[in-house]
Amino acid sequence: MAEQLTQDTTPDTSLDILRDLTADSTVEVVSAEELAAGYENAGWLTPDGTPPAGITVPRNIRRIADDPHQLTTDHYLLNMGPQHPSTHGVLRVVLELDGERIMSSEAHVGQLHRGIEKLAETRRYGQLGSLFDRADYVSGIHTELALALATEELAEIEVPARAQWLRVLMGEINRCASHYLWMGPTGLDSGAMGIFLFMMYDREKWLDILEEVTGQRMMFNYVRPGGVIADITPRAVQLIDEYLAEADARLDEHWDNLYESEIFQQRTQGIGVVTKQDALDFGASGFILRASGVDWDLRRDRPYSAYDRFEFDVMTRDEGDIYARMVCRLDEVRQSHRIIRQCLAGLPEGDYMAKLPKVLRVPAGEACGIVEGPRGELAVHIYADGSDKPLRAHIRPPTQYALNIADTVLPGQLLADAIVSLGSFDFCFGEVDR
Amino acid sequence: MRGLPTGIFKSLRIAFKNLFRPNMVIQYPKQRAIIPERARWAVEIKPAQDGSHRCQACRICEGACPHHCIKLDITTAEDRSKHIDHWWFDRGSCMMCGLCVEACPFDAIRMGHDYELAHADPALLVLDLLPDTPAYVRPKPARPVDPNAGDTDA
Amino acid sequence: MAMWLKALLFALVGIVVMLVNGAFIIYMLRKVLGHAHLRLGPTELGPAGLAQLIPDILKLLTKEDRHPNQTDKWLYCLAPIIVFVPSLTAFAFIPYGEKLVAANPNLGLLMMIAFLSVVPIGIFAAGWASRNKYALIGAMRSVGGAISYEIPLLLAALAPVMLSGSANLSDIVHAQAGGIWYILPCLPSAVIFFLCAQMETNQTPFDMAEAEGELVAGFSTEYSAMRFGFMYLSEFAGNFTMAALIATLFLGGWTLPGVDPATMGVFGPVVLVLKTYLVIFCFMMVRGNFSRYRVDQYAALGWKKLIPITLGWTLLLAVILKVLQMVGLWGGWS
Repeated sequence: MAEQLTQDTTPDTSLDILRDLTADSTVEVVSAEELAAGYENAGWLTPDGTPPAGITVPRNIRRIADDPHQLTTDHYLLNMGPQHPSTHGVLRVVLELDGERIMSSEAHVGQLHRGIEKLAETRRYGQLGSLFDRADYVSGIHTELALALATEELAEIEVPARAQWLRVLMGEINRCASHYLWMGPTGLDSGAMGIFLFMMYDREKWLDILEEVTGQRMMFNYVRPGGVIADITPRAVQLIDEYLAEADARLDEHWDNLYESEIFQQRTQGIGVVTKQDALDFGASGFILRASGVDWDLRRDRPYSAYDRFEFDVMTRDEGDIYARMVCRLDEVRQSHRIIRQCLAGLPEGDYMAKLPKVLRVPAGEACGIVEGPRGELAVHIYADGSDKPLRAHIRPPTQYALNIADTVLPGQLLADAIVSLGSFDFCFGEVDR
Repeated sequence: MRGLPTGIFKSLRIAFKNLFRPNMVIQYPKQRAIIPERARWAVEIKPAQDGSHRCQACRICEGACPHHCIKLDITTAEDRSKHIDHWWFDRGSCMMCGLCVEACPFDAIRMGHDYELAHADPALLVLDLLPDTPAYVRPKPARPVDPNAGDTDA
Repeated sequence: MAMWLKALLFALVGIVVMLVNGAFIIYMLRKVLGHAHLRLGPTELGPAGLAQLIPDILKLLTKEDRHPNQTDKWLYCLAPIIVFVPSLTAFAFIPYGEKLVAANPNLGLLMMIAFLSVVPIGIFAAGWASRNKYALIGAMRSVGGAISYEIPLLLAALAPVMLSGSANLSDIVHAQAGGIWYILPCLPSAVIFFLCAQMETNQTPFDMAEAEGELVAGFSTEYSAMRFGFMYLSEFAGNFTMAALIATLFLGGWTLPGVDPATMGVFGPVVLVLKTYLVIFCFMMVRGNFSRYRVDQYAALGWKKLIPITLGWTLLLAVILKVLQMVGLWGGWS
């Protein structure tokens, strides 16, 4: 089985890319035995199988063969989404089911396509932020930051130190808010209603702070090429202090409430396993990669903004299942609290915006701004032709790559697991469909 | 057989504790959330200290708006003084990015705090913020303002 | 003629009680879940939102009664009734007081559980007739659950029967009035009965048939208007019936410890209803906070854990009782 699996995967390429990114790479090569063990844990039978007669199986990536030792029934197709209550946006998944067991799955995207990348060609650089906010609408600061980094690289703008720190501060606050919007609903997917509302309380606190500083709760338009548009206010500092005083205790309570519940553990441990190899092959990033045992975080390994001046740990887990991702993100929230505390303690004085011309003209060339968003590596690639508008702009959404893994993770699971597994990749369809 | 399911009892304990905690609800029409000073909602004309507007009809906001939801109908008189016929603002397509306010060189507009923007009739979403008004002319000490400069109907 | 009138009167009272009770449980569910989630629940209509139910019921009554294409028309219309009627009938067996019991057969406990077992058939009919894959999956789960959980439910109910020596619910209550509540000598049975009752009434850790996160609305996906209202109502009626059964079997029914049952009079029903709502409150707290079992884990819990545990415990209890009787410490089964 191991040989079969390694035939169609190219384990070296993706590792090489990761190695090239930094000299001191910490990535390990996964052996074939490890890989096979990972698939056994995930409930795989064999990666090969023929479609049953009478059913048009969508072109799929992996499907489960019928187990001759088990009772099987006629397969049927189930359209899950785009109106399903818990597919987290407008995702349509076509599942081939045997009873409740998923034999193959295919995700269809594109229902939320708004042509953001095309629209970006008609906007000046200063206007792009409000557009790119709408791409990943849960973590707008990070998309803006990636855009700003790309533009600054092209236009060679020097960003003041205070702006750098404010970007980090707001980015981490946005990261916390985004993580809460994922951890709570993942509890809800598994049926726990209460945890969703408790976590919304924390998210609301962070959103209040973001609104106080940036003026908006979700579509911030705050980070611009050259800095940020507004300084932090005394009331915001007070709000952050007030909330941080109770934040860690609240995290402990969430841990007791959801993570220690045996039913939740049964629902998530060993389910939706993404092996290290799969995570690397499919280009997964962020928490999916870290929950699968790859110690990789752009904030530490390729620091942007002011991240090289902060102390924080990169949290990893080895299991690669949903529970590992949940724990990984809860730990990341703790680390974000650390960064926010350091930010408030050492915020440098000075300007928060560089001196820029009214209409920013960017010299011709290409640049790519990469940041570690809440969902993974978020990149904005800009191709400039010397005018005040980009010739072409591209967003690299981390969850689109995570979506590719879903089709290989879902087969072999039950329908109920499919909901939690899909939810656990934290898709944001604003950025997948763009 | 595993040990006793202590985790679910922890969860239950928290639920019972929550019964006696204060709720976190803002009952919207009766109670209002605190809106921060910087909150960006619908665009409005920023009144000066004497209550008048400061719009000089330069149309910079029109160009700054990514969604073209600001439109100024301006009549220019022979003496080059401007008269604002309409100051159209389409709340339906405004996304509250605040770029017009940043672009305005005369501090004439601001992002208001009116967040109840829903209407049954889409026509009500288009507002005329400055109907039939003379554009503001900055008083210059060297050359006094002609008092009839604004209201040229011709 | 008099018999006939009396039966009709009981049926009428039963329906009214069920409607009022259903309305109250819906209100209670919203309030309890609301406060457990740091929300408020309904507040606007009437004092503390009590009148919220009137527009809700009006909404259900005035909505379009939709028949999707290709449904099995007869079964589709019949299914809500199959779900509704047994829930209503099971009301009749609960003793609310010395004389306040509509039907008091010798095997009242068995009859009641038998009637409640018909509900999954109605749910299955609803899911089957809807011609919707989600509804069908929900229906299948409901039947699978009924098979897995009705055995431990009955076995757990055996313990009070053994202690009191009767399957008549009134006798069980009287036996407890003389001694102690059966929750103390047979706590494991009570806990397992509580779990199985949650399954019977589709409450969250075991709400396989509805599982709104997975199956949209499970068996009732295609139902609308009052047909859905019937299903909804019967869910809450089943909730009440099961809770009342727990109160009767394990919490002394309409009696209070240390109070002569003959003097309870009008307080009997009040005591029973209070105990019942206490049990329902526990149901709701569990419902509002726990994750849902997966369908295979749910079946495994029933077959691999609850059935062996109840079997072993019931056997142990029987042996203990026999030994105690032989020694002379317990004078049951007279």
